[in-house]
Amino acid sequence: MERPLHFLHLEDDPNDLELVRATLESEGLMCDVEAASSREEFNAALERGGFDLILSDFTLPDFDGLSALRMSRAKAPEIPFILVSGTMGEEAAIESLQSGATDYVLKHRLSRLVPAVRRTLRESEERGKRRQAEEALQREQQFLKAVLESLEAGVVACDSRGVLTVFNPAAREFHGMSATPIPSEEWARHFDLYHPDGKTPMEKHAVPLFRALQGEHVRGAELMIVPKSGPARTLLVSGQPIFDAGGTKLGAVVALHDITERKQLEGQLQQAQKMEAIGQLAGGIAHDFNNILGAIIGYTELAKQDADGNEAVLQSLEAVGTASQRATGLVRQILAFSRQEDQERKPIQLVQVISEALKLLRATLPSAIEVRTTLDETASLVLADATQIHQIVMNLATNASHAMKDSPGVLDVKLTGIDVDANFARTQMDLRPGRYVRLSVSDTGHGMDRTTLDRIFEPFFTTKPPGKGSGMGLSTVLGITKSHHGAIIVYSQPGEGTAFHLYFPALDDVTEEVELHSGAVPRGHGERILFVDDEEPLAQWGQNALERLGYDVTSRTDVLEAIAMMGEQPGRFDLVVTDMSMPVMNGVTLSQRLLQIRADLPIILTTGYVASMTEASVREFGIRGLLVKPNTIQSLAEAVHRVLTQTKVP
Amino acid sequence: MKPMIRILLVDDDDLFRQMLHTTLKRFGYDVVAARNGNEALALHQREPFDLIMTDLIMPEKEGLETIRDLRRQKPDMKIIAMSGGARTIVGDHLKMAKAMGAAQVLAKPFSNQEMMEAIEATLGKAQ
Repeated sequence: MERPLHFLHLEDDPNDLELVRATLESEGLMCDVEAASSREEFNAALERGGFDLILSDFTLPDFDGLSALRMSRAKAPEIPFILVSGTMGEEAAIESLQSGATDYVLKHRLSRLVPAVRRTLRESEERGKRRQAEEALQREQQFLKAVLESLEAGVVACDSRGVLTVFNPAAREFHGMSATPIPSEEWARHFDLYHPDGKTPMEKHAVPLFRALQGEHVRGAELMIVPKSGPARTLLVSGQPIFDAGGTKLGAVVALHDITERKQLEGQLQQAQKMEAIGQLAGGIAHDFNNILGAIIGYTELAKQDADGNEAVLQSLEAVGTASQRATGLVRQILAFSRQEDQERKPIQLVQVISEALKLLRATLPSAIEVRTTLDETASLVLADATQIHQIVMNLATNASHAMKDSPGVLDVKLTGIDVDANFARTQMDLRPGRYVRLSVSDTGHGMDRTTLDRIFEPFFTTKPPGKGSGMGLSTVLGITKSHHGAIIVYSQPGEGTAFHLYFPALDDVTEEVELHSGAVPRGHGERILFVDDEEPLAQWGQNALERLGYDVTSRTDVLEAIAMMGEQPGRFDLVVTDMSMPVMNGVTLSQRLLQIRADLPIILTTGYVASMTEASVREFGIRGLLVKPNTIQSLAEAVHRVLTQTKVP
Repeated sequence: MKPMIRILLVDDDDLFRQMLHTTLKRFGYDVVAARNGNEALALHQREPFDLIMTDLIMPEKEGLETIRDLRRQKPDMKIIAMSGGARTIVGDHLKMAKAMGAAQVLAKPFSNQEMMEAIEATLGKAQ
């Protein structure tokens, strides 16, 4: 059943009230009337609100219809207002309509009342629906705006004439423009577009939005955008024309994805693969060269014996010997690059090594070069080969000095502890989030362009004249840094100098605490472990780490003590973890001695570098696991857990 | 007069092996040469040697494997390992050889003096 009509009726005559009500109900309009006969009652009723309609007399003892109309328009403009009067003149009627009355009905023509009310209600309902639709549309637009504003992808759209209509915040950021709209003819002042090579300017017909507007479905287009303010970015763009339901072209839209980081990593990977390939090649050549050099040096010595004291011949052979020694040195450098040279890594303070190297360097550098050093004495220990770090500093500083040779300049050497966060690590292939020690060597020299920068780490690549440089300096620096599980980042601009930043993992990497509590690390239950390492800090580290994982750990730096402990009580430990390179006895020999005491003793060997050793090859010696340093708590925990679990299974 | 010391020389690199062969003979040793581990093992079974000098990276039978098998045949065999690197770290490879029982190791290229010191250190200990 239809809801009764709930209306407010301002009327001082009860007969008229009843008459109106009867008229409405006689036409089937059920009424729920709230009557008011004074200003106060009318005002109170308006305050309560909720009416479908207001009917009002024109003349009341202390009030009048026009005042009531003004009051209701102020308080409830959406409620229709109909004047019902016996005395209203034409002028008053017009004034009331102008003031916002919906209609007026004369009491002596009350037959007009019902159609007027019906029409008013119908119009009121339509207005309500329209308002709802408008509100819904507004909500939808706000939602769409919020979506566009929160997108990481840039969205740009234009109408069919190419006028930009959508330019979300991400797109503005990519284009280096402020949040305020900028007319399209001014855009060129804010940014340049290039092809992915970053050099060739992009012609208008190649711009994805333009192509989409021409009707093309653009997929996987790459371009480089260089804003006048803000960083250059590589963008991956897709786009298409937009049509309405009838097939009329409304414009075009493109989505822009920032793939700068990915491109950077791809570049780094490519570079790393190239270096790896060159390294393997160089390593293979080095092996053959060592054999050839061995033969040359050997035959030279034989020839010297056969020279029978002939001075001229002896001098020539001496020269062959000297040349061979130089070649031998070069091959050593190649091996260092391809990381095939032996190294003795120990926990060291880089500060000391760097200071010593710089002391040596100062004597050889031109006096026009000012050396500035900022070395943080409190930077963490690093597991490193001091001789190799020394070499790195010498090579970098020598290059820096060459870059500044003709003019006064500054060689700046810095050492700082630094936390690499996840965001930064994502952009660098060789970095993981965590604590690092960073060695920075920068100069104010001539700098390098992109092409040179791409090749500086290649063996035998040199910018020096023939005979002046081996081209192995930076290759060696890269090889050494990588073998220390480090990373190199180079910044250089022609004319603006060069900065090398070398990152070495800090020995007390704080991220291990995080790993330890992440729950992904397998833990022990009181299993007894003997940890052997001749370096006290490493032995201590191993003991602490394994104890925190729930093992019962004894550590020793003396292999003979370790053997004695096993000899006295072969069943005392469930597992032995030993370092490979130790002075008195290496890890393999120690393992063999321990296995002679107890053949089924599980042993894990840890080693600094193991191209030659594999799990399979150490198993020949009865060793169950192999761990490559620097080992994290994670890798140590996994190896220990794995070996202990294998042991338990019959 | 002391009997001549017999050395078995194992190296796949012809030039290097011939050079070392000549040099060792000059120093007064009785030298037999083999081109790989298999040849060396066969020779070793047939006749006794005082010292074996072996390369580590060889085709057919690797140096480390050769050392292991030689010592199975004769546990107190005196062995000097030599390597020019590649495919591995020179130092670690030589360390492995030492762990497997090589008395001395020589990184190629080496001088006559370094070689003689290694031989004397090895045989000196034996005698």
